[in-house]
Amino acid sequence: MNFIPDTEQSNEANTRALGTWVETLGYKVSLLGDECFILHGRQNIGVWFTQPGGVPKIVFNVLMLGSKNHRDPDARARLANELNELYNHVKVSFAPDGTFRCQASLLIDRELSPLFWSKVIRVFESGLEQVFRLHQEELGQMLD
Amino acid sequence: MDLDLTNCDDNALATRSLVEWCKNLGFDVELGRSGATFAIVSRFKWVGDVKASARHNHRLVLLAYFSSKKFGGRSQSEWCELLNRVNCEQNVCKFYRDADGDMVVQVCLHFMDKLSPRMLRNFLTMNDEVLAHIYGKESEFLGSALE
Repeated sequence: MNFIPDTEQSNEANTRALGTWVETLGYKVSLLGDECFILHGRQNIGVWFTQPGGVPKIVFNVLMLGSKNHRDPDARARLANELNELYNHVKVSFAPDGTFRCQASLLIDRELSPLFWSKVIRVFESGLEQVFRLHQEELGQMLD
Repeated sequence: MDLDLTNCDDNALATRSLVEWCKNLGFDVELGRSGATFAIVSRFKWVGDVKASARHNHRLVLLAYFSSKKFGGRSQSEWCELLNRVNCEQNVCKFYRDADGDMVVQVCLHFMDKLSPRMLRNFLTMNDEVLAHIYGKESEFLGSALE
């Protein structure tokens, strides 16, 4: 069964409905308040639903804590720039407190099928793995 | 009518099909000389291609380029600090400064086998609006740093 967003409902209601739908597909999911759920897999991915300009959209977000010993925001910003130029599967950034964020998003036309969901998740996870594997040394110095 | 790329595994073929489809819909679009990339003009000019996958996951990747001042502009550190912050604050467009010193904005649309005209219009409108908003919000920096 496909997920069909209810654009009359709030983002929170659609996020809850999406989380329930993903769970029925066999994924391990836990709700994180009303605004987000965590998809447990190779990475823990924060997932939420939003409707910018009325367009249904799902946001995928992975956060990793920054190292307390790393105090060079310039180096973090330069690395984020390098990674964003290299890869087009994910967007990365560092928050002011050093938290590393990897993000991707998916626009929904009318509905979302289980097959397409699994493809998109796989592409996002592969993109993350590529970033972490190929930049282990630089990221290792900056992350907890 | 939707663009149908079912079983298409060829990036250049998918890109050419998209360009023909866009032309028929009235978009301002042009195939690049190589035939592998194209430009589409909405509020901004976007250049891109289709990353085709017969395994039901095509991606339309678009880039908008903004030339930066070669002299009297901002340092690489200032650029990286700004673009990192901009990337942190929104979840639509990805910003980076490329090896040539240009500011690049990248957006990506996943679609399964078919792409509807509504989806493409929504995608372009949303990207244009976010980019225009950021351009306005960061006008002090960008006004002094871009050509």
